[in-house]
Amino acid sequence: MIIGATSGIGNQITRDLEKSHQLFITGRKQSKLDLMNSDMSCVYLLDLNDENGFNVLLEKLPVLDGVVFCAGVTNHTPAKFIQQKHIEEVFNVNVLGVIKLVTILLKEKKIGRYGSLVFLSSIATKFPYFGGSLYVASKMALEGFAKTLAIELSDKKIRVNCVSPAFVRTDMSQKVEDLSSEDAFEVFSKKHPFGVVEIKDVSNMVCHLLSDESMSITGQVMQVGNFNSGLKM
Amino acid sequence: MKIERLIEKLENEFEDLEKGLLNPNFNFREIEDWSSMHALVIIALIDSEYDVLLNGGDLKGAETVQDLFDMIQKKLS
Repeated sequence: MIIGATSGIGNQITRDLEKSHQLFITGRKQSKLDLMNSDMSCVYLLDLNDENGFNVLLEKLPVLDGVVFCAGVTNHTPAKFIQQKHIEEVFNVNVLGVIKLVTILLKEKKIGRYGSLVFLSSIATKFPYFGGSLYVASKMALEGFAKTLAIELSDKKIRVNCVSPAFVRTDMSQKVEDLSSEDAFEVFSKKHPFGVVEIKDVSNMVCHLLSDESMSITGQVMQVGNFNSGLKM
Repeated sequence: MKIERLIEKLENEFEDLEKGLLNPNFNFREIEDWSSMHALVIIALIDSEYDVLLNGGDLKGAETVQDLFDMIQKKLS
């Protein structure tokens, strides 16, 4: 199952897996789900803010071999300007919704033995940036949740890992470019020794972690791409 | 809504600016060491004070404090 399959990274993972696997994909916008036009996938409208939606989804799900959590939102509000609405926007989707969904999937025994859970984090947890306090805090919370989950699910041989990409050009990152404006993106790109990350590279890492090729990898944060902040942290 | 209030808020935010330097015709990119960080602060300040969310594209279309003020008014109307 791929949560947040309609945009960017989730979309790429869907494309890479749909020919070889039975997929259940979710997205927050019906118009985007309609565009997926994926014959092999079961497609569900799901907003991580809406717990009622979880129950509808659960009724239709078999036991899953893997779940990828790609849904996420960014925010670029410097800390002193943060309002309740910003906190809720970011944490409800990036953290609370994910935790609630995982909890329900586990309670309902929807994750099979030897299954794999993969959470999309960000290299920003290692290299924070101006205005990113809420986003970075949410992704660090997600990593903490995933690492703990890895311990709790080890007896069932269920792996839990995060993938932490450097800057990837997607619709979501376009919002960063739009917001940060001016020369920011050019300066930012130059800090990536191998250039900004190709979306396919991120998908490859996720697919690896879902596959039987990574049976002994759990509790890890796998970085894709590199970043040279120029700062000593 | 008065432009004086926006100027006051900007002065309060950019404390290094000489008092009285800011006026409607002031080009905000002339703030010393102007960078995208200043842009983010201006965007966040306007979101916080007026509940108006500008993006980088909006900001690129503005040069002066008056331009910013006009943009806020337009988005509010």
